[in-house]
Amino acid sequence: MSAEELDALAFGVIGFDVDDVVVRYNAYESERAGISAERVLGRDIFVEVAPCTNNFLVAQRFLDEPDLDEQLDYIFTLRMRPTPVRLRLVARSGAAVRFMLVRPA
Amino acid sequence: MTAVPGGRTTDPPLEDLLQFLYLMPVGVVQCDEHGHVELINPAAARMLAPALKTNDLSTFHPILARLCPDLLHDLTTGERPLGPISGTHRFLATTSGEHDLHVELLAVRVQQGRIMVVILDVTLERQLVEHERAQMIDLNHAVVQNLVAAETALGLGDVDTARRHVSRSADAGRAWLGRQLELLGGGGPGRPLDLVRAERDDDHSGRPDHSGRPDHSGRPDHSNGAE
Repeated sequence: MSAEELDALAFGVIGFDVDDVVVRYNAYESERAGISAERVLGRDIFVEVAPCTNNFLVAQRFLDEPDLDEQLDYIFTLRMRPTPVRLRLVARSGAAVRFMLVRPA
Repeated sequence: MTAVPGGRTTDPPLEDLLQFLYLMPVGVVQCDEHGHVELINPAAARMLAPALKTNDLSTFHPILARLCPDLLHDLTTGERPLGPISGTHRFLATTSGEHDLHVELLAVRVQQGRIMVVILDVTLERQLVEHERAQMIDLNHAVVQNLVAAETALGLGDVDTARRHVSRSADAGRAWLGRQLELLGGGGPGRPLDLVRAERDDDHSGRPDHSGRPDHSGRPDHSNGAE
């Protein structure tokens, strides 16, 4: 999917590689988080981009499950406000990119 | 100003501030006197999200009611002076198999109607304390076992065996002391402590194994006097 197509989506997309480095970040998520894509791409998702997910509910799932397609309710801190979201965690064994998809709850 | 895909613009200094708050390893929550959460950083959400019964962090009091009722009581009753409210509170925030999370909370009334709560992840520190407690139990066991054996040997008139057991008991104590000094940074070569030197030079066969000591690199800083 091209960057333009990704930006056209009506939900947040964060794609990250096997080293947890963010390689895709769409406009929807950028706008909601208040952080530009340039500041996010190349950063560690669980340490620098979405540190609120660095726990066993999210980060550990990607670590433990190479094949993952799971949805869960979660709390983001977009612009420092507690923001309920619906997360979809997607990973495929052997795939170069894994995804965290974010919708408002 | 920086153009953001999607047409909105952002102010770089504000982005810097947001990133500073996002990356802060300490959890911070700002709420009003009724517990309504106004601001929260990711570290706080990381620690509190697994403890939520519902997907709702808009109010803080229900979390406190379940996990730290003493703090909730102190927050909501009596006078409401500015400053820290009833010191720090430690509790187990979540437990899920191997993923126990111990946190420390400090609530500070920074203005009338505005409470700031600082949340620290003290899980590693807790693990270290438990590890040290286990080592103390092992030490106690080794000392007592050898002293009982020495007493028995003396009763049988076997002074050499008794002496050996007493020596092993002392070795166990020295080994433990050596480990503590190493953890405190005083255990390197050339340290001027006779007891430690005696332990290093000692080569008795009954010497306890040192392999179980914790990795220094993961040791939390105790300089703040916590636990």
